[in-house]
Amino acid sequence: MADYSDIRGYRVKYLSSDPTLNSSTEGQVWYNSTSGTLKSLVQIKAWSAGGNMTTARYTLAGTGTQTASIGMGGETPGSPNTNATEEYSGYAWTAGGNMNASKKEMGAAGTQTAGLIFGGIAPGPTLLNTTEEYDGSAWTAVPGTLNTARRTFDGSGIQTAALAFGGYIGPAYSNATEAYDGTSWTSGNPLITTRSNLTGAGTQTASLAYGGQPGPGAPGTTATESYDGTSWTTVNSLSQQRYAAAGDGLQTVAFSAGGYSGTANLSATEEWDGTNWSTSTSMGTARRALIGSGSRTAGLVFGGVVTVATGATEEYNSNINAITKAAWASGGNMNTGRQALSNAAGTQTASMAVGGNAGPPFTPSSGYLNTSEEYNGSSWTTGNNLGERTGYSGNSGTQTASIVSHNFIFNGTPPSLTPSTSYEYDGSTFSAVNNIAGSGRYGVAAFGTQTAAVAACGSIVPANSVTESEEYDGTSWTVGNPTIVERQRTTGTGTQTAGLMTAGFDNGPAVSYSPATVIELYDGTSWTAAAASINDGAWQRASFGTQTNALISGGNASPVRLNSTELYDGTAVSSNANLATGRAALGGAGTVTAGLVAAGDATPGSAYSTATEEYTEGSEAITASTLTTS
Amino acid sequence: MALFIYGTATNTGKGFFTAEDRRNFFLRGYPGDVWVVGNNEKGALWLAEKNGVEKTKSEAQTIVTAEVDAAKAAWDANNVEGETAEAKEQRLGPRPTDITLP
Repeated sequence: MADYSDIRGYRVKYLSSDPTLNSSTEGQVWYNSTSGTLKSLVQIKAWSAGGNMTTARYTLAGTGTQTASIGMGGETPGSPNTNATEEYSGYAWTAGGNMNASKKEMGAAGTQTAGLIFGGIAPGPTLLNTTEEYDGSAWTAVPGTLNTARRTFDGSGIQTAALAFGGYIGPAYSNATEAYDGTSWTSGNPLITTRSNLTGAGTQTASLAYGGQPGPGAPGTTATESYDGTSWTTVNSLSQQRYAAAGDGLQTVAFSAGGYSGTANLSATEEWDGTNWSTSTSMGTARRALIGSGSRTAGLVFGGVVTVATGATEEYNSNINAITKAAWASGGNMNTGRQALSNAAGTQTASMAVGGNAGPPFTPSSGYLNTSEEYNGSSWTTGNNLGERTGYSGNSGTQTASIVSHNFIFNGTPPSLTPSTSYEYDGSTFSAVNNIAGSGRYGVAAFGTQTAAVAACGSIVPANSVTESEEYDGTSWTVGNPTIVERQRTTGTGTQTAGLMTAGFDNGPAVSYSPATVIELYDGTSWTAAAASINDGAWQRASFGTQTNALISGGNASPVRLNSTELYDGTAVSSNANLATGRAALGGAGTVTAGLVAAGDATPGSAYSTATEEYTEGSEAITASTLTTS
Repeated sequence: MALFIYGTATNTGKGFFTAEDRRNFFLRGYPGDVWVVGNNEKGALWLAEKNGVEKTKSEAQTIVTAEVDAAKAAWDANNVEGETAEAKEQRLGPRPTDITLP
């Protein structure tokens, strides 16, 4: 039997501590004399559940990466074909632009923002030779058509340099190859093995074709072929016969997952290293007619047939990093359920929220609150009262030094609306300070510190949104430059010189409850619109973080209470981990590393929530494995 | 001790099972929201945390078989006049096959 030195060319090292762990350490074995353990750095291979597609479907097409894919078309339960596109963020699927025609069994290439789809079959049934291009939001039918209309084939490459190969042209199976240059398709040399329902990976000039069904009634094939831009060459075969499987990657590093063997759905996974296929860990659920995207080290599969169509998504990771996705976990409940409470100033382990509405019914005893609560990272403790019963307040600063302002005041019946008051909190008591300088209003975006805060926009009587903006310097409020977009029940985070505001809605004489998705950035003087906008138009959302790294969560998209979370990284917006409980008018605090939301309106007409959720950022860590005898 | 725990649980998507879960215990999904889980503490905890309902192997097999039988019946009933068997398989994919739980 070969020993370690024969395999690796090294002897097992005797070290007092683990070596630096990186890709160059992968595969090494060493003895840690301090812990007395034999250790190694090996690839971790595992499938995990991704977000479910909104619409279960099979025989769909897809392309992209593990964190930015699109899935389109396919057959849906109760409806033969769909033209719907969904976009995956690494966390959840959201609707994209519809294709120009309903179809299934297409080929696809490119990325989530520059996709290409070609061929397939339309209801009728009609074999298609059409091509469509995706720009990240809409599909455009382009003049270039395949020379051979076909279905159940695959493609590779990018939007401007794609390859199509194999397929079913009814009643014959095809080995035809065609290349797309961004304008037109040109026939190339055919596959060696004619087949349909095959899988492809790679680029236009360096592709890989594997698996598939070589003829009517035949079981899946293991045949693998490599394309050099001119012709196909047979290379080492898959271990598992399969067709209607998923896979993606490059000519030299690819994966194959699921499919149908000819007798059963498969969950088996194989990795291609450029020379050989090797068996890896199995998917969670066996299925066929699914689609794959991504790479051998970060793959994605979605859709397919178990016995009926599924929207299940699975993510494949095969690398030396142990990946932990960002996630929300339950925290300690607030003592009093409420909505429209103030933003929760502070951090995940030291925050404070005040006021809010505990109704219905709206009575002095069960309506708006003057109570505050403090969170210590595990439980909420009721604190001292504010002088007035408030809601929709701005709250900027920390648990021990915040400024609460722009309060909706409701001290009794009938309600009195005097939203000009302002209070400082010192960690124990609230003290009235100078009134705000601008119009009396509530539902502002508030951020900064007790001595350098900003409050922007809001609602004035009767319910009109405004663009007013104010700064607080620890003593008094000063009116600043107006914002770009009129809005209220908005949210903000950051500092007085680097702040962010988004969400909310515009309302007034000329517009009625129009959700605002523009992100506005404040530099201490003026507001500018960010290039990116949030995806979910909603109000009463929570936000926390910085101007260049902020999370926006929950919200009211009436009547729906959102559980979505969006991450703005200073450049773009992407979906992030969903809240366990969708809700609006919640409080938020913390950072994108360790955030917090609390309370809110989870179900219209029902008791307001006491629930707290804590956000933990995702991470990747290289961890050495301890070798044991069991 | 039995090798597996059988149960039903709805796949809620992201986080329903994690890579760490897959390393900690056997996990395999089947039709009818049936999940076969490695019979260890972490596997049992996973099923409980997912609001799963534990089943006997026989009960789980019955659910899976019923799902497969329903899919077979739907496949058999979905016909187009004059269509060949080959064309039907191209249109619908292969006829569902029996599944035996481990």
